[in-house]
Amino acid sequence: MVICSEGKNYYLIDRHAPQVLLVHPIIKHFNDMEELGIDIQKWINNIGSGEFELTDVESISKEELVFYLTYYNFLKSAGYSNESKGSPPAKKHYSANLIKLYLANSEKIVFEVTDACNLKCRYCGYGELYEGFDKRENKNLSIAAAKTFLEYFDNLRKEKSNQRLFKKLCISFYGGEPLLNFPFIKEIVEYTKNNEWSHGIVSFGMTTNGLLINKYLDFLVENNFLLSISLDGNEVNNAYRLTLDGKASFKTVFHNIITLKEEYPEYFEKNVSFLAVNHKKNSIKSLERYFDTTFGKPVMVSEMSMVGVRRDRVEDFFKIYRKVYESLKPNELEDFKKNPKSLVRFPGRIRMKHFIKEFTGNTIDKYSQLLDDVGGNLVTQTGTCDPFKQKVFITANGMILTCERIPHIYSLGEVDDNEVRIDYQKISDEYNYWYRKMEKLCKKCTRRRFCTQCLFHLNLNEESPQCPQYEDAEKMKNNIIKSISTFEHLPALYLDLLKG
Amino acid sequence: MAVINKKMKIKPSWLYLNPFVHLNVKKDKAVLYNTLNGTLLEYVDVNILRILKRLKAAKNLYVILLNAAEINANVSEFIKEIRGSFIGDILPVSFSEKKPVQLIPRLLLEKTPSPMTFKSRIKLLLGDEVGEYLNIVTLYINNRCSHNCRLCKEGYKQFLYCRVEDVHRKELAIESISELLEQLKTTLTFQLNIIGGDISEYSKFYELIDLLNDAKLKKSYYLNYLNFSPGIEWLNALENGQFNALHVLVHPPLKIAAFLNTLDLVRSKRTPYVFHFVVETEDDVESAETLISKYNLRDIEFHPYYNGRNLSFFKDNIFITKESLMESAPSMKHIFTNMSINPLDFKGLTVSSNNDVHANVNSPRLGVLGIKNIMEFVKKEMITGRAWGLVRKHVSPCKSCSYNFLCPPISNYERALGRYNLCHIWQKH
Repeated sequence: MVICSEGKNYYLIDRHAPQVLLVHPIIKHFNDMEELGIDIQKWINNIGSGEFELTDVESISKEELVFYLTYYNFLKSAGYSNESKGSPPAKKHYSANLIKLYLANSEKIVFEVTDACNLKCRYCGYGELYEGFDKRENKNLSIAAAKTFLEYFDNLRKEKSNQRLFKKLCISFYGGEPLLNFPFIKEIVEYTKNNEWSHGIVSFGMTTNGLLINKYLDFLVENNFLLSISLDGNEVNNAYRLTLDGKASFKTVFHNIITLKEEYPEYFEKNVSFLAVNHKKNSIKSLERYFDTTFGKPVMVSEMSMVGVRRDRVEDFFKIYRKVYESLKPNELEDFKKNPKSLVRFPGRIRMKHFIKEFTGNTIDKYSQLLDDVGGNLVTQTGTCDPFKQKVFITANGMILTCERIPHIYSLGEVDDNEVRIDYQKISDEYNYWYRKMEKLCKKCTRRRFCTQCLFHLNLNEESPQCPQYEDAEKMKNNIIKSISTFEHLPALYLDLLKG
Repeated sequence: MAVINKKMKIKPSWLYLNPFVHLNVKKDKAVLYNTLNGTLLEYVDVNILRILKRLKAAKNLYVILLNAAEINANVSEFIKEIRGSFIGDILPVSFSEKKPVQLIPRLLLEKTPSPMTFKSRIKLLLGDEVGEYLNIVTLYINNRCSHNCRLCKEGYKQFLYCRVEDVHRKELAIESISELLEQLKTTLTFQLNIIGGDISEYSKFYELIDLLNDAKLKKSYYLNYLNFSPGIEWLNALENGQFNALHVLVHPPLKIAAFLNTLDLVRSKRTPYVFHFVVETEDDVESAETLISKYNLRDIEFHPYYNGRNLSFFKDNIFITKESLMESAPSMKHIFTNMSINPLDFKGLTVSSNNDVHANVNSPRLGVLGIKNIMEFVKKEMITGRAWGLVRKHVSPCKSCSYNFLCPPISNYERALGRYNLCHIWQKH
């Protein structure tokens, strides 16, 4: 495929080669002629000598035409062609043992300490706009259940031999608002610190709305908590984050953060980060500016979840929802150009990185891939994480999930005060079934090699689930043009992304 | 050869290289290598080097503006050459509204903060399974042998060869080997090399074979041809297990009767075998080839041995030449590999009969077997990279050579000889 960028440059692209090649515009003509079934060699033979005018080419001699045809044929013989050579996605296949191994080597356990919250955010994933989660009943996770799980996990680690480079475990506290159940947090921290574990280095983390942190600052600092505070920007930006009686929460949270910063500046610098949700009351730019100027920190921005939105509230959802990044305005690109250090905050980084991975062959995950005989990167099916490999999430009701962002209907086990119940065989069977279900759609998708779509954010109950990331040839072409044009506007971004 | 369009000559143009081209510019030399068709161009001209340095500059991404004033006869010839070999091209600036880009070849190891820096692997591997990084384990199970061959003390430094350095008898305890096999079950190890001394003199050899026969690994038993005495029975025990292979080490001067006895023995068994011929001279090569032909040997390997007196033999047979380099036609993936890891050693560990563990027998000891799990040594090598990460950009004179990423990985010959320029690339070496 030959595309023309916004800068009016032509690039030959083939994801199977894979490389993006700047080419003379005549290559585009050759490509088009070939698609129309025209014999290019014959066409050249039949034209007289002299120079020719073609769209975008100005004038070109017959000799040059012959040269570029030779070059075009060379590129085709080297793998750049219009023929589809995509291999079908490799089937992921799980076994009970593999899933057990993933759990034994998991690096993070997230406890939903309580499902109670002292805020009632308009866009909350457990709020009025959503369905498909356990009913919120101000329930606390039992300390005994958490300890039961930690012991089970420890035994599993001993049994399965931790294969990670560093033995480490992060225990993270999540809610609702976790600090509403502080006794749980205190007890689990003490329990972890006072016992011998095969976990290796244990660290603690917490995601909080910041309303109560002033009460527990000493504890959080003493135990070196990694603290992620949710805040959507300044007072106006933060307007959807309301208290239970409908009042704005900003002033209290802001005061608590400032107190933390003043009392423990070093801790604040090292351990505190910010999370924000993008919506109609803020923007990427306003968020970045606010957190940079107010706290000297970057902010991690996410979108409102589109998973589990109630059908009867879709209209209300879109009154609030805003997509994080579509395209940047030229003046915004200029800002990044003037200050290369700010490239780390370029909002399209993930998309651009995927583009590099998909179309340049410059990205590998690990050194082993350099020695693999298979060309390019491995084909996978969907972007779903392996169960438990990254983390384990325990809900306030004792459900065991692989991530806090997965609907509770996909629970993989339970824990109570006395035992952990995980049927590894059932989990592997279910995952294998879901992958088989997606196979038909994935096979047709041009993004299949580098998909980031989580299975569990699709409607798996449908006979043929639809996927928002599904990309046909036209959509792929537009995305390529967008990405290459971004690099033309911001060439420094390319190497910046390759720094990892 | 294409002719530059007259208009292009007088108009400002974008000069660019293709992203499938490897460019290496050093102080006074540069090479351009087309990974798709294997064309290699060398430049020493100051003006061309200046242009190539501009193309190489990070901010330019292989694309620079070339003004008409810069195009002298040399530059014009250079442009013809890069066009003719499909290494690069020029485009009139008037074609485009924005400077074009090339997505130049640069390796990104995801989760690594600094590409190409093996030392930063520790961050890369934070979330990775270490066991994946161990594939081949070599066990020197003992150091005892009734022969006193000339290569005993030095040969193993150049290639996998039997070794008796120390007069004090040492051997790996069978319990240690058993424990090691257990540990290997959680790794992706697929091959075990068993070598001595004379492995048949290992005190619990039959017990060891039984133990190894149960291991689902490819096992290669290495033995000097002089150690196959008539009537030895342990070869039968090998036949009870799967994935076993015999490797017979043959060195000059050849004792023909012993060789024929060994040949008869291994041929009478079902275990697959490979003959390894050590050669030090052209005559050795000729003698080995005569034997191979006469006795119809199929699976054979040659191992040139540097004995301190046969440099000319090495120059003729081992030294890298431009021609051999081009015949190997390195791909961009090979070049990335040469920049990052040493594939000859990567994922391999060697355990000596005194329990010392090395990533390469010529590199510093990683530790002692038995005290730590084998994976601890994998981790250590991942972090220090003394063997797995030894690439030409780290050693002189290769680090200042513009061919350094095209050349094959650093070999044990180079390590043992202590010189990293076994090459004829720039004749003066």
